[in-house]
Amino acid sequence: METELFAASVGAVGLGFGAVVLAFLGVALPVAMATDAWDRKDAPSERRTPVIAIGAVLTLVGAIAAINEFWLATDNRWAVGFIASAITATVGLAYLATRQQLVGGVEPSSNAQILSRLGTYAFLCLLSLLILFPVWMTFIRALSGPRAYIDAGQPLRWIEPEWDVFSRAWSQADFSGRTLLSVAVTSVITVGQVLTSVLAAYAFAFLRFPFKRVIFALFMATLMLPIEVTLVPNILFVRDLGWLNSIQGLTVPFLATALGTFLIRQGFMGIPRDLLDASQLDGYGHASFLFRVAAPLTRPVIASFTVISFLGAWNQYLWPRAITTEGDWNTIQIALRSFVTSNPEALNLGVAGAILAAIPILVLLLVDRKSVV
Amino acid sequence: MTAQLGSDVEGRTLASGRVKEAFLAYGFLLPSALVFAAFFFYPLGRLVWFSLNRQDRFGRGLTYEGFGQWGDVLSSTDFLDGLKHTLLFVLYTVPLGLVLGVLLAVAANRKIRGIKFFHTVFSSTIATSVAVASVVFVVLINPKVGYLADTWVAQFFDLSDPDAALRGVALSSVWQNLGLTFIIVLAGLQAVPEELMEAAKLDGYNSVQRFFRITLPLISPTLMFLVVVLVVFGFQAFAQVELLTNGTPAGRTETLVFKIFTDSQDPAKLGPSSVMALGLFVLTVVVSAFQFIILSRRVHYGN
Repeated sequence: METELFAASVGAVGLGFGAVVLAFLGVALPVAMATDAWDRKDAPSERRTPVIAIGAVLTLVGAIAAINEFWLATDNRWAVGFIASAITATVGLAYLATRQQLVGGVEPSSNAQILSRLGTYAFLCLLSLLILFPVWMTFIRALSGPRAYIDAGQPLRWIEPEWDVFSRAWSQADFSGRTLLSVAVTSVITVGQVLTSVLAAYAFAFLRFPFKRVIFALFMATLMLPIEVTLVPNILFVRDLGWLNSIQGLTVPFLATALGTFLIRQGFMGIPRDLLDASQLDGYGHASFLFRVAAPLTRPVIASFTVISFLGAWNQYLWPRAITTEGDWNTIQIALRSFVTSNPEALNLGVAGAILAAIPILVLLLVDRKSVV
Repeated sequence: MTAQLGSDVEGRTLASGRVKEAFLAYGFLLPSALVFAAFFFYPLGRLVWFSLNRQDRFGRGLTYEGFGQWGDVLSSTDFLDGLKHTLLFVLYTVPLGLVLGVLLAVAANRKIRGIKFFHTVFSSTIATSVAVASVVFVVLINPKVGYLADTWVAQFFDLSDPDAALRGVALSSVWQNLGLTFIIVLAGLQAVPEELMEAAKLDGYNSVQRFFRITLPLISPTLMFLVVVLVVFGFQAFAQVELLTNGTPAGRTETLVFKIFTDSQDPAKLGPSSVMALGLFVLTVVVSAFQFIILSRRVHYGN
């Protein structure tokens, strides 16, 4: 009896997992197909457009099939969804694995090549699951009521989905206020770090002054003093300043960074010194040389440092945790804590909050792939 | 006479130009210098002073203890446990994270259709903070509400098992750092010249030989850099501990930073926790020095 039960549960889990994999492939492969054609800007548009269109339609079909499998999971619809997913996945895979140059130039492939490519895609999809399975579980956990989900035996799909969970997290659980505070703190830190770093980097790259080497070494030494080390004296100092639970307390200690100074100085040092001399003959002072010549020329470096600075500031945990005692001064990262550690009944709101906390960076990643990747 | 006067004036303007330039430089450095002085060096000085003193539990008055306190704390089980958990955490996160990151990057370093999609997926965990990744792993492995809690895999990272809990905490960090690791390794792989691989192919190297004899040595500076970054991340582990286990079970997931943070709420622990922070500082300095050596060697390598 017990072994039967065990076999049945293993079977159910296996089937459930197979369903997730199939649904995933039914969406992912068409997406890969459409984005691939989208990215080939050099190919003629009459070859690209149909592929993009077919990929988009297949993605839609795959997504509906997935929703069918997980949302409206009555017996018949499971089967219909499976078949639809299988079709979209197969078409996507066939496009990806057959001829590599279908869009722009034709290059026939041997069967062996196609087979090895199929293997490659299978492996890539398997690895994708490593990343996306936890994301999927997070997503369905946000949508399902905590009690209902556990009572249903923790399946791989959502239970009684509450689509308003994000708006409730936003308003009821006050993630709107937390997001606003995080945006304010992150903006102040990012702008501050870029400004102080550009100025300091300019001094080190273009100006002559006594004790330059010593000061540079002292600046770089701060890289070895993370906030984790100086936490306690910093808390005491900020407390003495009366900056606990304040925007100053959250931002001022991070308004300068040696990493930014170092990176931007490297960028400045790529600018020929003749340019400075020439601009001075034209009557430019250092300030106008910095803002009209040096900074624009190093824009890629400054941009990528801005991204680094933004990521660091948005994701901070230890310092805001240490110097905020009132909920009103919790950043979005800190707000997650109360839901996870003390409030299992509202777990879905906390999980939805975690998704909200990741969205700004996800958008940055998708919009500006180059400067992150 | 006039010429002499001219050069004299020129000399004076040159000198005053120098002074002006120096003042401008100090002006440019001032904002950064103020922050560094107030929130980096001043606290470090106080940290050293606190480490030599003891405070009562009401936070009144420091009594000088001297270097004896260093010895006492550094040999205490409290510190040694924290150190052990921190080093174990590094051991659990760095090798596994590195191997998985290299695996993802090698698999995705191909010019085939749709590879951009997989690049985006593999780098996507960079969008998660430590706190967000911890929530993701609460959903997966929390003993009460986690999806995997009742399955056989859970025994390897059961957060309620003293022997396995730290591995569970580490798992969330491995996952969270995968995106960054992937991006950096992929950049390293893409810098390997294609002609080299073609030549090796002609010499009859198979793909495994090519990976171990050519690719791996060429990307080893990148990997060393990553090791340092990941080790430093490991030293600083805090949010994942607080959110996943809060130091339990039986204090077996209390890392150094976790101890420093909890002790910061108890005035009587000011002295001892400052010694611990200095211990963490020494670890950071050692690893940073290592990084500096690698970076300077890498520059020579490029030449």
